[in-house]
Amino acid sequence: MPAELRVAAPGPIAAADAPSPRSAAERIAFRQMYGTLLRADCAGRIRPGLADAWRSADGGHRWTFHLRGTARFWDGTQVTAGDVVWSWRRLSESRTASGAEGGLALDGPTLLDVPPALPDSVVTVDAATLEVYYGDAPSAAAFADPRLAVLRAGAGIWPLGSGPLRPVSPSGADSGSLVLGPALGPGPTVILLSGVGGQEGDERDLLDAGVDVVLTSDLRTRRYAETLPGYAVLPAPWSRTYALAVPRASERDGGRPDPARADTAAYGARAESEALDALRVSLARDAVREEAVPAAPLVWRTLPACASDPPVRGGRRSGRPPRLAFSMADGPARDLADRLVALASSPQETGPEGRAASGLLGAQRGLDWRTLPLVGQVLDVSVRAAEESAYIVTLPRRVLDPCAARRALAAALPWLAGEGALVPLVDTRPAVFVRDQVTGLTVDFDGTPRLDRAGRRADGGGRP
Amino acid sequence: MSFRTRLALALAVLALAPLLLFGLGVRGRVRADLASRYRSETGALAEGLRVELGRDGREVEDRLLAMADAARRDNRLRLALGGRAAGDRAYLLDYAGRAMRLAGLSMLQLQDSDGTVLSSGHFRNEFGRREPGVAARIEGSPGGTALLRASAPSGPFLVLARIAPVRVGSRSFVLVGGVAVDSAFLVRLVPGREVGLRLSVPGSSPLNMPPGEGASNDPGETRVVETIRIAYVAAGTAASDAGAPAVSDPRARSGAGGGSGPLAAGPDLEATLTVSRSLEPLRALRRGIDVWFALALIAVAAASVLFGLWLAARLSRPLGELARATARLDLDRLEASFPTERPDEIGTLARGLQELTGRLRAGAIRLREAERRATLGEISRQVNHDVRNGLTPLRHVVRHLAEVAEREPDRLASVFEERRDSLEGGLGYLETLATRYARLSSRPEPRPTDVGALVERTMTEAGGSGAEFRSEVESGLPPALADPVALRRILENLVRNAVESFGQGTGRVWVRARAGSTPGRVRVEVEDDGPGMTTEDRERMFEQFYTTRPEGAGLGLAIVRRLVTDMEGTIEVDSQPGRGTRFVVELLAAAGPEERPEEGA
Repeated sequence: MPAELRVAAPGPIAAADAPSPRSAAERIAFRQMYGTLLRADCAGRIRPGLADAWRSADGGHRWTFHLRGTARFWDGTQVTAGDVVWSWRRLSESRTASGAEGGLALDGPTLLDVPPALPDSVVTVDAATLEVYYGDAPSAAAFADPRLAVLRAGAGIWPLGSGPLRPVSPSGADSGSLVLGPALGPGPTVILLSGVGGQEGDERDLLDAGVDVVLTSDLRTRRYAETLPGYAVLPAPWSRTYALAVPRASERDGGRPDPARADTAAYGARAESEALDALRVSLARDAVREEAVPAAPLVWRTLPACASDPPVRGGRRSGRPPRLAFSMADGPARDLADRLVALASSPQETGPEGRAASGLLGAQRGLDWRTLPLVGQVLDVSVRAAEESAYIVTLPRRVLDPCAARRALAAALPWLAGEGALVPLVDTRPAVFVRDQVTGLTVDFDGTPRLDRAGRRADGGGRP
Repeated sequence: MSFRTRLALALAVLALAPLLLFGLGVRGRVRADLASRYRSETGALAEGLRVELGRDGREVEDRLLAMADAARRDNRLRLALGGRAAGDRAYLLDYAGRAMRLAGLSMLQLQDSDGTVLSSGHFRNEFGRREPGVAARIEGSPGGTALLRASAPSGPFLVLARIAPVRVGSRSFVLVGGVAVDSAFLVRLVPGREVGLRLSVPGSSPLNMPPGEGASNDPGETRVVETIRIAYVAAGTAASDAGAPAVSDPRARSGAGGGSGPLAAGPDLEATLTVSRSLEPLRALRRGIDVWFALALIAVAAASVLFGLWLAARLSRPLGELARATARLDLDRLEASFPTERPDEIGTLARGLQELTGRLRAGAIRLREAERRATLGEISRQVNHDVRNGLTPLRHVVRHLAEVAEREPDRLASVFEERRDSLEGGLGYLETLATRYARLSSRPEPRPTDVGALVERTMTEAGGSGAEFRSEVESGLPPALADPVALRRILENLVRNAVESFGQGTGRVWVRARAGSTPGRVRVEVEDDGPGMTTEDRERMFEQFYTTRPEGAGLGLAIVRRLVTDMEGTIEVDSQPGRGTRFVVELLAAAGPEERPEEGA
């Protein structure tokens, strides 16, 4: 088994972010460096992590964890219940100060800011056992949240982690690469190439350079990789859902029933209508320049409500042409916004998808619609305040805690419980290209590869 | 106004009048020429804009034709257009974007024969939209170029569009493309800030360049030069316009009216590019001409005035010198000369004056000689007169003594004693007179003189003439600053003149001495109640040798006036026929009491 594995992923890596990832590269790196009490496999099944036993009581409001006896930090010290409490307290303080990204989308941030499942109180029964209490009962998957990883203050820039790999180089931010070595015992050496793609370079060069694992969302790179004989695609889960958010859908069409409210029972039947399906197919096939499929219903949104959200009326400004806003850094969002405006401007000539688009946006305003690119944070604020007529928003396809996700959605779109509508359009996912020689590679529930058991065979055979 | 000033002004006017006329003529000609050039330049500018737009349209067409050629040779595109390679649909959708960027266009569509957009470069997700009639309208536009209102996600924009047909297999397609007509485009067309452009399209706010200015219809600000008409196609409304004729007015194609170029279009659906040019540069140029013209006029006027002054001074200086030399001429100063070598009229005048001065000088010599001779005769008569005056009292005394010796011989000695002073005074007077004449000194020698004493003596000596004499001397009368002999001669002449005015009759004579009419003067009056004088007599009485009596010499009053004048005194006469005559002599009073008065000679 070769000792070195080269992995490339977009986004920077900064020690200050640990253990809460802010980019795909950090998500991969931190997954190897910092362990959580539990972990969710690619199918969403809960697996032991630092805790080898756990149970819940009081309808999920009380959880008891027993730490694995072999759980150790990089320096060989035992992971204790006190370390868990210290890590969570540290996370609580840092989150209060700066906030953190939520959701599980590997290929970028989403609209939701799902907070980590920090308990209301913690009791350390002994060095290996702790009991935690919650007012809002979390699911077991919430303890697989990488932000709840257990760590300890270290002497270097990196906090001591309990994962199978540890950083060998001091920092990856400056050099563009982070070298991870086995923390305890044997293991692979992983060279994590960060900051690739986007405007900084061509990800196809990574493939030409023989990088073992490449994570990308670029369709051009994907098509190039498909022409190379030595690479295979590791099917990543559909991680992002692009949806059309309309704050005050009922005002359009003179107050007629709003076809855009696909998430409501009133629109349930029409949401599955042929026109909307045709629109989703058309958008996924032609409009978006990434791998996309028609959006499936958001499963976490169909679960019973975990908390009652009072309806809030949207507050779109009047007196100006309707605008469809999107994040200017998000290519699929731009494509979707452009296509919807194009369809809405000539619904008669564009078939059923044109009628569906005009129905979503309002046919009588077809020629007046404009697109409006916004910076991500400005978009979040604008969406929350319902300043524009409609938005293309990004939601996580999968969530660890549906209740937390629903609460986060209610916070991000407070008007959704009132007159607004949220119509999923397309799902996207990143592509993970793996060389044929790489073995032992697994992915978690959110699509993040696990490299601690990965390797590369010299004979070039085998698939992950 | 002096001769010099008049001459300077005349020269200035003579210089300025033609200059002003010339300047006004040149100014008007320059202004007219500038306006003509302005019109010519702006006309050329409008024509240049037409040419520029036509060239832009041809450049767009060239690029579209090149793209059409490349599309025909693109097998992947051929497959995608044929629908036989589902996987290449993305290639088709992105084809126009790649081609548009490679060709440097701002807008590009690949349409099928129905006008359905198959690929759009400026708006990638515009595919599927039907724009029937757009290509036909562009193709039918004058010159094959039209202003197209294209759609984009962020809003519509204007394009100078052309089309190029593409035939792939058995199907016909068309490329619709163009360059954006925005502020940058207009800036490239506008050569300077004084030129404004306003692009007006139906249903949209006009696009102005420079921003906020544009073409103004206000003749006070700018002047609309030309309106260029461009065929206009609104892509968003193409469906509703599909039935409209592709190009409307054939007259526009032939360049009638404002559209002489290939871009002129019909009036029903067209955009207008209004070209205006600010009049401000022309006004500024005209103002500059006016200012420089005024400055030149002022400079020439100043130079003319200065030249006139210099010339006037040059002409008047010899005349002034002649005038000053002439002013110095007098009978006593005939030595003035008028030297000149000028050949002109001034030289003739100087030479004439020189000859005149010579003649005057000869005449003066002759006059002095005559005067000298007359003076000798006058002195003789004056000596005779004075001697006779000195002899008169002596004759009276002698006649008195003879009468006493004849009638009262015994009183002769006493009478002699009584009249002895008169005799001695008369003799002394004659001696003094003789001494004076001997010295030929006629200038009196003023000194403090007791006027009262002289009056009394004169009254005393005048007694016996048959007239009644009365004298009045004001008490405290200051002494007069006079020569005693001269003053006595004055009094004696005036008294004798009064007595002689009685003729054979009698009369009264008053002699008064008092203070003068002004302080510091002493006044002596001699008045008689004789027959008085006529106006002619009064006017001529001081002339020498003028007398109304056959035996008179006509020198008495002339001598009196000369003596009074020599002593800086004045003499006035008040006389009317039948009412007597009064002479008033005023002399200077002596300055102070320390000057002891002298009674008389």
